[in-house]
Amino acid sequence: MERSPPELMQGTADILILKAVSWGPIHGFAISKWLRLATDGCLGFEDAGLYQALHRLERSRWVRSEWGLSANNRRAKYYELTPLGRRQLQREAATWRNYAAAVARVLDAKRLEVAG
Amino acid sequence: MSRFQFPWKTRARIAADVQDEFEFHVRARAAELEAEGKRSEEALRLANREFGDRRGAAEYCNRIDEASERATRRGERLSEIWLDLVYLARSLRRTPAVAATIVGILGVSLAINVMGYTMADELLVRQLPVADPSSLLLVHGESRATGDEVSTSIADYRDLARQTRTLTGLAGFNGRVLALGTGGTPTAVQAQIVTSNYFGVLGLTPALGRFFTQSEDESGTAPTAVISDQLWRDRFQASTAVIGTAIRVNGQPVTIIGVAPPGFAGPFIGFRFELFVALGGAALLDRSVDPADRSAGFLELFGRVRPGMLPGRAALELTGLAVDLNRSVPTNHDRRFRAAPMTGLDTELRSGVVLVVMLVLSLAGLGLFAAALNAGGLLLARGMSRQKEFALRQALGSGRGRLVRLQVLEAAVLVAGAAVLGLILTFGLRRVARLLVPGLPIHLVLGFELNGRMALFLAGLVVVATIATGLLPALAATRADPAQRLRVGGTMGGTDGRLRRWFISGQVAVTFAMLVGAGLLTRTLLKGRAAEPPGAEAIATLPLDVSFGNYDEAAGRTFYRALLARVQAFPGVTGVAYAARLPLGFGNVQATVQIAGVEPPPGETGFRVEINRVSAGWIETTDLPMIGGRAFSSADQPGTSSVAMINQAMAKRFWPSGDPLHQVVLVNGQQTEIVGVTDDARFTLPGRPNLPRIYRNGDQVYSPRAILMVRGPVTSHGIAGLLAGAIADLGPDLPLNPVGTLAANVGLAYFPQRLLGGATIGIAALTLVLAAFGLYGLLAYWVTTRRTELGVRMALGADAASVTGLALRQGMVPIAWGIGAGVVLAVAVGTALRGFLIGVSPFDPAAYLVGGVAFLAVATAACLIPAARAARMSPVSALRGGQ
Repeated sequence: MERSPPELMQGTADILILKAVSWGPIHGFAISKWLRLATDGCLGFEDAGLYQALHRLERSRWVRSEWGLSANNRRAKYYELTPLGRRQLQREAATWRNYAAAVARVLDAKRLEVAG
Repeated sequence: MSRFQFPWKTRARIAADVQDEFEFHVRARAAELEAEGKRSEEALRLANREFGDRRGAAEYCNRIDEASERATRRGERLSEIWLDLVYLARSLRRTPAVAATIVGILGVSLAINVMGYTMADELLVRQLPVADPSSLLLVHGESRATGDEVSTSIADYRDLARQTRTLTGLAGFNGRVLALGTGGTPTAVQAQIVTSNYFGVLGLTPALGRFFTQSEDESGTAPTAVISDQLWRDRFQASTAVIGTAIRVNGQPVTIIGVAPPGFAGPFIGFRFELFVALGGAALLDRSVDPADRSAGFLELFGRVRPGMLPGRAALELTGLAVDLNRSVPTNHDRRFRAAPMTGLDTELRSGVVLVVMLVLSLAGLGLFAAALNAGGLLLARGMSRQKEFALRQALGSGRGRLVRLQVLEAAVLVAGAAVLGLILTFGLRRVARLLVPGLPIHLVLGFELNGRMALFLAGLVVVATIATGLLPALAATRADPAQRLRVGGTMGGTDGRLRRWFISGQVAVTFAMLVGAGLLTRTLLKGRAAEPPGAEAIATLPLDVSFGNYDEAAGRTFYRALLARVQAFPGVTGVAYAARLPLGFGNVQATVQIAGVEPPPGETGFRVEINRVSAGWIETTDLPMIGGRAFSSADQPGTSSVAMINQAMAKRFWPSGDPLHQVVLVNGQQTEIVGVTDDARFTLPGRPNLPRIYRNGDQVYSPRAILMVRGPVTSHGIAGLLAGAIADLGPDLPLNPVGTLAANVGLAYFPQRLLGGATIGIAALTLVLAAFGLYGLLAYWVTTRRTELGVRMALGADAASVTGLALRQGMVPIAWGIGAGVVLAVAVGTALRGFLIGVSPFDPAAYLVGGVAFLAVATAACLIPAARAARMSPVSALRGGQ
């Protein structure tokens, strides 16, 4: 799969979801809840989009799923990270950190005297 | 414990899963909102709104999941096939003999088919390497009275070429052997004397130099020549300096002006012409050519049809032109023209070739059919021994489809191996096939090249063989109910045993028919041997043509006289003579004979009879018996009165009651006395009518061409060497042709029979081996499954003979059915071969008898081995179920 520089919406969603499933089997509802908590609701997006992203990530073999039983004994679909997905997460996270750092450096920069 | 599910998800199942997943989310969120104090309907509404576009998301997820599912299935199928292959490799290693047998028999029959196809491809499918061959027409001149083909004189050709409007060009050629000298002893090359527009009409461009211009058609111009690419490489080391150099052709200087494009070697498939000499030089190379003589046929014609013109129109126009020509030229009174597509094969030859090729291909197809049946039978037999394994796999949930696929895959692997073996064998068999092509006096080329069409043909055969070998046994082996097959002692259901017997019977039928076909052709060839003069192997033959040396009549006579005297003195030589044609050779030449008191057919001036020209000593050399009168002697000379011999058929035809001796007849207008009558039985192919034939005296009637015949120790290579020395001495400017034997020449007349016979015997031997395998397998299997029963019989007092008989009977029933069907098939094969059976009836009892005996001998041997093993069994161990 080609890697493109993170676009704000889809790219952001994908990396956040990969992070969310990286601690072990988790169902969609729990991911949604965790995302809301972790971002203080700043990056809230529709749950419909979350599920589309999950299925897309599964197609890319970055996550895999299995049906299981939830805490209150309901049938739920649990997702977890595949080794492939873990590598993808590391790559994307590094890219994101560099990107964020670069943007932050620019925003904090003083005026430059350009020689010439 | 969840309910059983197929490992593969359906489309509906995928959609339901997506809905379940979403529903879980919404309900969980609603429960959360309820816990925060919302009313339950309100909570559900809010949860749904928060979720967003549920339908859109569901559609998207369904699509993605279906794609994932397809990828998974593909992956699983691949891994299943991989597992099957691993399993196959193991089972093939466990039974290498079965695998090797199947690969062997299918490989040999595929090779025979590929050979047959390459022959068809070479002779019938491939096109001449010229521009747009489909618009080229061969234009045959023929006699209205007899239908015989007649060449066109040079003068007539010029008129036709000038007048035709339907053809963009009319060209002509005269094929002949010319003596090519480039220093040292000249060599004979296949050549054509061609009109200047020959290459232009064919649409070729020279690889080097130029082609002819119109002025080179004119008699008296300095002779020029174009050489083939092959000759250019072989004789002139592909040097560009060859253009403009002079070579010697028939002793005359000829200038090379061009090299033909690679791959072009004249307008006929199978023949390779190396030298093309412009028409203007013809008279210099051959003194007998007279460009002004309208009665002297010289050229074969071909032309290119004007675009948009139908070939039929061209034939009509040329016939019309011929009528005009006939009116102005009385010597051509009965000439007409016929146009035929230029396929590279002579029209009549082509129909014969089509027949031979179709026969070879059908026979090869039958052979492959038998081989595939047999391979299938072997797999079926092994399938039976794997019955329990299959039943177990099926009971454990392996689909029938997968089991069938396993067997078809197995067949495909074996057939693929056979195809590789077949290709290797094809390369090997090419040599054998070339050996079948006898030493022709002309250079006949059968390249047997492998090409794309042949690969396609082979691929088709592989598919068919795979289906025949794998699918049928697989379906049979997995048909029955697994539970029944798993039961202890369970054997194949009756239907499957019957299927196997059918296999055997079919094979017996094909084998028997092949053996009869081989017998019929062998009998034909044996009869042909009987037609040879006794000791034909001991008669050396050497074609000679003093026109190569440009000798005039006096020089030619001197040469022949000196040569005969020289050869007579060779050690071991008991006879020497020359003749215009060899007995049973190709073609015949006719003379017009007028006989006093016998009325010729209406419209004719005399009778047409076969004619040969032989020297004194010819009767003694060929050992042909005289019925009456005398043979030619050295006293018959150009100055003495003209004498001739006739055969019995001619004597009976024209003098049914009287005595032909000392009668004087007109042969081609010349008074000739009949001095002898020869036996004719021997020089006629068996089953063919004895045609009237007259022998003129070669010492009296001169021709530059003759075939020298020497009876003596040919095998020691002594004669060939001595002859070469004599010719180098007496005619150093003459090319040396290869020395052959009369027997080889007679064999040439049987070329189609030899080719077909070789193929049929090969295929018959193959099918016979296959049938023997099949019978052996059938009986061995029967003995294995009936071990207990046979043990009981022996314990109760049955002796070895009765047990053997019981087992043999199992084999004899399918054999009897097979031979019954085989007789019908053999009649069909015999009828198809009818045209090739000379003097042998298609229902020849000897062939049927030999075929039947050969078959029964092999079949009985194949059956006896397992039957005898049954009789040798110890009843105790048989009953115990051990060995």
